[in-house]
Amino acid sequence: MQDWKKILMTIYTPDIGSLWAVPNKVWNNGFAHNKAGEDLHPALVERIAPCKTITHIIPGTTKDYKQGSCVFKIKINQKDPAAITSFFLIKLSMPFTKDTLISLSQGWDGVDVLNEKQLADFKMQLKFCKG
Amino acid sequence: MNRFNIVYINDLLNGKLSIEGYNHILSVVGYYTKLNQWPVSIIVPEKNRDSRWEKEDYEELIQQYFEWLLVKGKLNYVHKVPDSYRSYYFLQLLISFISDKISEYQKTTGVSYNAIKKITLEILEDRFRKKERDAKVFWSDGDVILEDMSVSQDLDECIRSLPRVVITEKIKHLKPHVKNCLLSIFEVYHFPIEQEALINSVYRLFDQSQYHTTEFHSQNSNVELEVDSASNYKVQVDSLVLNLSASDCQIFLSYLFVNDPPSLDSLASKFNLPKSSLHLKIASFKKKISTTYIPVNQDDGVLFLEKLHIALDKIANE
Repeated sequence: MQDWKKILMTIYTPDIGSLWAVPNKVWNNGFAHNKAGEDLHPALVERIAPCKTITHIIPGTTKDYKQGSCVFKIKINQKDPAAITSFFLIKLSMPFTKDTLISLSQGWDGVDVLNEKQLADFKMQLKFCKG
Repeated sequence: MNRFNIVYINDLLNGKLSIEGYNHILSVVGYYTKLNQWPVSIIVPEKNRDSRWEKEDYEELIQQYFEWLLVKGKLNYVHKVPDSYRSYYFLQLLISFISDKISEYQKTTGVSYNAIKKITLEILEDRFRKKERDAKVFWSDGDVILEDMSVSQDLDECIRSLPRVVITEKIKHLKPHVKNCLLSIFEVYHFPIEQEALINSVYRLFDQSQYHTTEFHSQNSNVELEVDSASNYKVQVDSLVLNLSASDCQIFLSYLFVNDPPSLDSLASKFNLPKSSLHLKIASFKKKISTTYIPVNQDDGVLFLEKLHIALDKIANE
C-alpha cells in the first residue's frame, strides 16, 4: 500500500545539491545589494527542513567574495573546459520555501544536480564550515 | 463532581436511567464544559461562541452525546470495559465527542483569533525566549537581541510565501499546527518579533479563505473539478511516459513510487546499470515530473501521481 502523500512529498522536494536560477532579490544582505533585484545567479540546495516545505539554499557567485572553509569552489559544468568557476557562499545559507523554489528554473551551466563526486565534495565542505 | 458514577452509567447501559442519574450526568458534563471552556456554539450553532451556557444547552449537549454514542456504536463493546474503567471510558468518549463537534464547527466557521492567540502564548511560554521593552513583549527562538531590530526584515514579506494550514475536518487539535507555524516563522525570520505581530502572523498562516464565501462549493462542482483534472492529467501523463521503455518504467516504479526507496547501489545491480547513470535517469525523470505538472494542492498531486503510476505500470508490464 503506497503512502501517496509521502511519495508526492518526495517527488516534489528538490534534491540536496540541485542547482537553481534564483533572483538576487531573495537575499537582502550585502551580497546582493549591489546587484539589480532581478539578476539571476545559481543557488545550491543545502538541506531540506524536516517539514519538507522549507529548503535551505546557498548563493553562488563568480566572484571570490570570501575565502576560507565556508566557500564551496566548483566548476559546475565539468565537461565544458571554458566554464567558469563558481563560489558558493555557505555562510549565506537561507531558508526558502520549497513551493517558491520549484517555481523557478532548475539548472545552471547545463547542470541540474551536482554529480556524485561534486556532491561528496559539497557535503565535505559543509562539514568543514558548519561542523 | 468530576467523575461519572458507575451506578448511573450501568443504569444508562441497561436503559434504566433515573432522573437522579440523568441529573448526575448533566452535572458532570457541566463540570467539564466549564473546566475546558468549551464554547456553546459547537452544540448550538445559532449562539455566539462567547454566549453563556444555559441549562437547556447542557441538556442539548447530553442528548447529542447520547445520540453520538449510539450512532457511532461506541456502546457495542462497552461490556468488555471493566467496571473500574467505565467512568474514565465515558469521560474519554465525552472528550472525543466534543472534539468531533469542534472539528465540525471549525469546518463551517474557521478558527478564531482568540483560540490561536491562547495556543500561541502557551507554546511561546513553553519553548521560546522573551524580552520586554517599552511595555512590549518580543519573542525569539534564540537569544533576544533587540538591537537586531534596527536591521530586521519586513515580517509580512518574509512569511508571505510560507505554506498555509488548510483547516479540514481531520484537524481536531490546533496545537501541533500552531507550533509548526511558529517554527516556520522563526525559520525564515531571524529577528525578535513583537508579540501581537507574531500572533497575527500565526493566525494569518491558517487558511480561512473558504469561510469568507457565503456558500460552499456543491458536491457536484467538486466532482466536476475532479473529472476535469483527471482528463487534464492525460496530457501530462502521456508526455511523461512518451518514449519510456519497460525497463525505465520499472526503475521509476521501484524507486520513486514506493514508500521506502531502495539504495541506488542495490537498484543499479538489479538493473545492471552504472550507479551514476541510474542516478541521472531518476533525477531527470523526477525533474520532468515536477516541471510538467505542479499540483494545486495535496489531493490534486496524489490524484496526478496515481494516474502516472497506472501509466508506468502499464508500460512496465507490456
